[in-house]
Amino acid sequence: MTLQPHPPHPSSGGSGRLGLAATAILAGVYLTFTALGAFAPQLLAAPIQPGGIFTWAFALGLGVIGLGFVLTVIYAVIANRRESVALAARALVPAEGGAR
Amino acid sequence: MNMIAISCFLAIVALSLAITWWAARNTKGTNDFYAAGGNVTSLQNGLALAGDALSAGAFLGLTGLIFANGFDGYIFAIGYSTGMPIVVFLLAERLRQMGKFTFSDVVSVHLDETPMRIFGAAASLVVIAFYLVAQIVGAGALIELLFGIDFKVAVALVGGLMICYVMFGGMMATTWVQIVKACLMLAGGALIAVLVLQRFGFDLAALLYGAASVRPNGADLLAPQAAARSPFSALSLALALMFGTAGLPHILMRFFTVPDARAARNSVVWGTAFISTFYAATAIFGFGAIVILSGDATAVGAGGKVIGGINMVAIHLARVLGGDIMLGLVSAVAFATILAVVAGLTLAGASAVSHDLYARVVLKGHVDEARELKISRMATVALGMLAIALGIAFQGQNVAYMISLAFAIACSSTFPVLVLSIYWRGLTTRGAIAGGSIGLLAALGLTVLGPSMWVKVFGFAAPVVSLDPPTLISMPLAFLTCWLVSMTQRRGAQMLPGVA
Repeated sequence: MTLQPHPPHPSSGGSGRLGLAATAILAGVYLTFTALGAFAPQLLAAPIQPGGIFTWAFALGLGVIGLGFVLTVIYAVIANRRESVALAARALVPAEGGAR
Repeated sequence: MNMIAISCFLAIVALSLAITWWAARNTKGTNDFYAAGGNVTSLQNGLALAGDALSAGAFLGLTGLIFANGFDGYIFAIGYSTGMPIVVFLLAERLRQMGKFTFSDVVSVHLDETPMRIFGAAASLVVIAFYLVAQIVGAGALIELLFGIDFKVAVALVGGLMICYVMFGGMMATTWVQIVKACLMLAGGALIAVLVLQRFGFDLAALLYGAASVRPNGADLLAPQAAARSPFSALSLALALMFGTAGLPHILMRFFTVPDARAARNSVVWGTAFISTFYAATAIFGFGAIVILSGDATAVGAGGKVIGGINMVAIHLARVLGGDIMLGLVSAVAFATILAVVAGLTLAGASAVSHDLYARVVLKGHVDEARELKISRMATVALGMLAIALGIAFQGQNVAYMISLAFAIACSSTFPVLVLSIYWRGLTTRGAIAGGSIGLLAALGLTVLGPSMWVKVFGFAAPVVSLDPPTLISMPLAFLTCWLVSMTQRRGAQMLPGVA
């Protein structure tokens, strides 16, 4: 199955591909974390520093939460910038309404 | 009875009714009622999104789960935190561009409108029904416990207030009640986190050492345990937590309240900031409770049972940390949370009935706004009454499976259809409806046969299907059916005209 986005809406700043890529990264990291817990629990139970209390489970789990937020910010910044560029281009060339 | 709790509770009821009164004066047409006039700012919508996503389950439920199971409870917080980013990556701005009031607006853009709206409204109502009943039953039990009111009275009270907000104030009132609640919850959470950390000299390592040393299986609390026992259920749960949010009608509806795609994106940045911080902080509440409540006879009774049930851990923690004042504040926050979430759910359900079924399917769009608004208000009352009746019918039942059922159905029916209708040009109406319906039925059927209903509700010794939740089967099945039916239909003689 090929995922082919519809022609972008005139004011669509975030292209479908950007959103799909961000989804793939977050899903990949989160499902890897889950799979580690399911198939290699001893890795997640190991402390980060020998004798320390923080396990890799905490580091990676908080990492997933942080990654979700960071990717959201990156996505919004890129999409907003593209939208501004597209709107500016449209204002310059009134005949062409393409976003990209 | 706690006078401070009652004062806080009355203050919240008074404030929310004042908001409703103000919103009712400003709600004139369907655009105001369903989408707050489309004038909600990014920060406001971000707070409202946080309010919708952080249900009482997120606060009371997660704290209780971590208290009971350590990191196995924290897994839920990590999973839920991935839900809102997925909504922005895949859906937020497309919803804003393609739809007006409901997610069925979006799925019917490129497909045959009448069947898609019937499917969309039906799937939305199923998801909302399970979510709503679980919230109402939880609310009744909580209020009964906190304020000593009878369960039936408590359910009727919550239901009555919710009908009042939605019927008179529509999306405007629902959004502002949600914003107030989100602020209260974030402030309350921050206060509890600081009070917990203070006990450990603001040293997280000391907190975890404490948690690991007060329980016999201490070290097991610091890493996932359950996933290794049932790996496929763990992956299935991960899928449900990650993609379920993107299929919840009351969350999707929030994106019609902002003016444009940019505001939709920016509101999720705000929303994700609040939601992620709160979910990360649940570790402090949960692990803190393990240490602070251990050996406290006022919180944990003989035999290690939490007094009032596992959902009361956060409430006990607040009382032990800050006495009656904190207990009152946190109880009031929990109450406000429940009210706000049930109001959002009811509004989403009412719009499915009045906008999708009545205005677009029955009258094919030939309806005046005043009439649609009237139907919407009638639907609100009907849904509210039904929720109260079901809430009372399910009193004392184990309804935890209903939330996971709502998430499983959302990511196996509404989510696949929505994503494919936006991203895959090849989707046909028949494919979408077949895939969405089979996904819905599979999620429902496999949950009934699974551990959370077959064993815990019906009392059989072993589940027919051990996968819990069933998302690992039902979600791919929905996508596959959508694809297969669409392809076979397109292979057939007539190609559908590409309706733009």
